[in-house]
Amino acid sequence: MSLEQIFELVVGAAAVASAITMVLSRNMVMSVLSMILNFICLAILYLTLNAQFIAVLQILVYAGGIMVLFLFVIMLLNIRDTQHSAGKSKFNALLAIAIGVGFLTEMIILIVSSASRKASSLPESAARLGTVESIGKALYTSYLLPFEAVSFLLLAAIIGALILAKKKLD
Amino acid sequence: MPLGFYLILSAILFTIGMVGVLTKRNAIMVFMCIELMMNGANLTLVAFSAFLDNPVGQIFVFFVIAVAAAESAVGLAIIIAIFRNKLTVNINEINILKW
Repeated sequence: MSLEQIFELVVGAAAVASAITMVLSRNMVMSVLSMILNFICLAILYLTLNAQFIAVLQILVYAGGIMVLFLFVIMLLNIRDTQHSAGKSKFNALLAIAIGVGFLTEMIILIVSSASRKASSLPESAARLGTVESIGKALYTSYLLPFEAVSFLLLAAIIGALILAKKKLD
Repeated sequence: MPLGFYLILSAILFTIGMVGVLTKRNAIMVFMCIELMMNGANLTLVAFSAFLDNPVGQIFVFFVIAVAAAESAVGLAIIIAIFRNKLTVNINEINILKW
């Protein structure tokens, strides 16, 4: 096992650990922080997949933008812990974990039996795939219409969020 | 690392997010778990894009990230509006639209 593979395994394990911490933590600020750690681990994995542009986007938009928004709302609302463990919610949790374990084993069986056999390492030509240049070229030629549609979606989201969060409409 | 490593990792992240969505009672936590599930799907897309040498997967991830930003802005605004009216974010108590 090469040094690179050990590094990727460690980063993957950190991503899983921070995701579990995020779900299990009772303190919501703690779960936002572990979510940011999870996003950073994913960005490192994107870098190992030669997706530099997506990795930077992950840090900028997810860790820098969306999670700060979550942190703002959590600190603004000052929500007390509403997670009480009544009998019914314990049953629900057990059911959810059973569904999750079944789903995960199903997916892992499918992945192991099909995809991983064929591709064992990255193709040589993939090194320049995720640069800003190649993504931008595809984005502004073949995918120009979806790109403009996304800009319109973001505008609508800004206006919608402003209207929704406003105290009183006048 | 082989493709299977990334696929299994994203399956694990997706499942953790799914269990969180099913067990959490706090609307903001449910929302964060949905973001986690989206990240699992994104990892699959980027891994396939790199291994199949095709940029379309990464462009799709770009759009997913943009939609996630819009979705979280509107969703958090809705949560703030609900909290202002009902003083709770517990999804068991927010049931006006339930029949």
